[in-house]
Amino acid sequence: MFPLDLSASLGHFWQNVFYVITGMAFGFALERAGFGNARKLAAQFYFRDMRVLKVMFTAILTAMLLIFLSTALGLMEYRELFINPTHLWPGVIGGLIFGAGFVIGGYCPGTAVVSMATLGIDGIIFVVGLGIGMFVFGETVEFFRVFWDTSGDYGVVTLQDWLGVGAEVAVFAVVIMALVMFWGAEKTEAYFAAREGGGDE
Amino acid sequence: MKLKLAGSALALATAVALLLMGMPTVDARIEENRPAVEKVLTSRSVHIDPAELVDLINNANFGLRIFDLRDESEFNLFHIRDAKRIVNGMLRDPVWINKLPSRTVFVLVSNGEKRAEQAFAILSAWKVPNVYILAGGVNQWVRLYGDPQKLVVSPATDCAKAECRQYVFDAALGDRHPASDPDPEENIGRDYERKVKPLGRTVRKAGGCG
Amino acid sequence: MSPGKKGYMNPYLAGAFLGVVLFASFILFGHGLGASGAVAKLVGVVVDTLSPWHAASNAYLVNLVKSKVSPLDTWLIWEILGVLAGGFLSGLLAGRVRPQTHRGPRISARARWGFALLGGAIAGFGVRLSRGCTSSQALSGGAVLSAGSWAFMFAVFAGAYLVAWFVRRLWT
Repeated sequence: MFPLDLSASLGHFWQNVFYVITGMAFGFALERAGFGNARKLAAQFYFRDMRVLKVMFTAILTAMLLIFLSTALGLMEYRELFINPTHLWPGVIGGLIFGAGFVIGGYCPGTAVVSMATLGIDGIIFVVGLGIGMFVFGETVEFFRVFWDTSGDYGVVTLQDWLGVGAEVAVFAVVIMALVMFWGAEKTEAYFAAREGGGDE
Repeated sequence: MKLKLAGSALALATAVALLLMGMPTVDARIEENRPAVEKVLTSRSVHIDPAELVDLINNANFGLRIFDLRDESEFNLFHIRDAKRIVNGMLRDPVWINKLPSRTVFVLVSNGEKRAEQAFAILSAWKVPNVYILAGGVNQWVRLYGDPQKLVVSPATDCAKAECRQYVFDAALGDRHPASDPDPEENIGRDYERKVKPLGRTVRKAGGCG
Repeated sequence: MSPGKKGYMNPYLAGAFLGVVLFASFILFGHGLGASGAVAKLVGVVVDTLSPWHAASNAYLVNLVKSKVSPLDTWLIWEILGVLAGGFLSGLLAGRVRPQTHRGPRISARARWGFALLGGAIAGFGVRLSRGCTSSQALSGGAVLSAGSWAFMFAVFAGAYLVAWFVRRLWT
């Protein structure tokens, strides 16, 4: 029955090996998608190339469907998985700030590491920047600690809990939303490509 | 283009299939778990001696939650200090379950053991770790730490399971009875088997970047 | 700018691949992927090395370093090492490994570096505030339908789109 408990069955060393392998697959996929290139990532926000949206939501969709299918078939227990607790306002404000940093710096932590791996100097610098930003956070967090710890602290809340529906309904809604977004993304790309006429502005 | 259509169709089909199949419910899981839970309960490996609970209350360096399954009137009459009364609705609410703190030992308390054992079965189905039951329930607790004159012997023979209240108090003092927070010294000389194990790793490990 | 493929995988395919990896992570470890946490741990270790007193007096950093034999022996670090290796491998196979600075056509490399640092710092702060990044919150939290993660994800897109117009010279 999944999820497995590798450190118990295989020992610490082999569990770490699996972590490395998983990371390799992760990094490989990101680089394949072109995410080691800040320009490709940023293109999302200028409506030229919506691949960030496509990759992210396809990944979420795939994993989500596999997780819930496994749970429905009794192979896995969804509630045993780590579900990120919801700290609503720190999450939203942090997300806005992070989004700004993303489009200014051109990366997110994972993709910056991939850029580093392919000798992207901007990727290396971005990671250094990350460290600085995190350090600053550590230095200043005491001033807004209460906000960070308690604001919107609903604990573990899933979409289906929030909507008061069954998990399978939330899954269905997410699938519909994602498919609509994909369709929208294709249309947006086509529109801007036609406008550009193929030349750089 | 064909790939996208195929992918979308597949995703949609899976989602619809999930809608039709539905997720396994708590009750289904409780049924599934029943044999394992029966085994654990019969071996009494999770029934802890009142003295051990007193020790936990006074000495634990991890979180401790005492959940009281009794009726409100009984709870108001007497309860262990810091015990919280919970009801079935909470046990079946995934939101409540997910809010349970990690690195915490939970001790279930009822008059005897029956309601505590039922709650134990539900919490096991949710895979909540570190759950124990107060052996003998409040009846036994009052027998040990309460005023002997306050005890009414119930005519039922096996009252531990039947959940009848074997104690009576003059006033509903809630947790302000001396017995709500017994002095650990009262336990000197009482031998008991320690059953609370070092905290099991919460199944939901701390993943993510938090 | 037409998105030249240049050996880049179809994004839906890459996404599906990523999704399978994410699912595998859940099956194997009970949790999803992560990235920013690794950087956070490094920050904690660096500060601790440079000034243990400072690290100990900062309640937040204390959590990152803790009194373990090796605070770096955590799944995040092992995984990020894998990401480095996997990214390198893929880049190598596609001939994309060489010192380079990805930037828009209207900006110099040096300016780009400055913005990478600035953007990184802003992102680093935001990531800690939201307790996660796109890998841990958006992808992993999203897949398990965490409400906070979805809120975070939409906020990220919103924040990026809002600022994008102002920094368009960086990329277009």
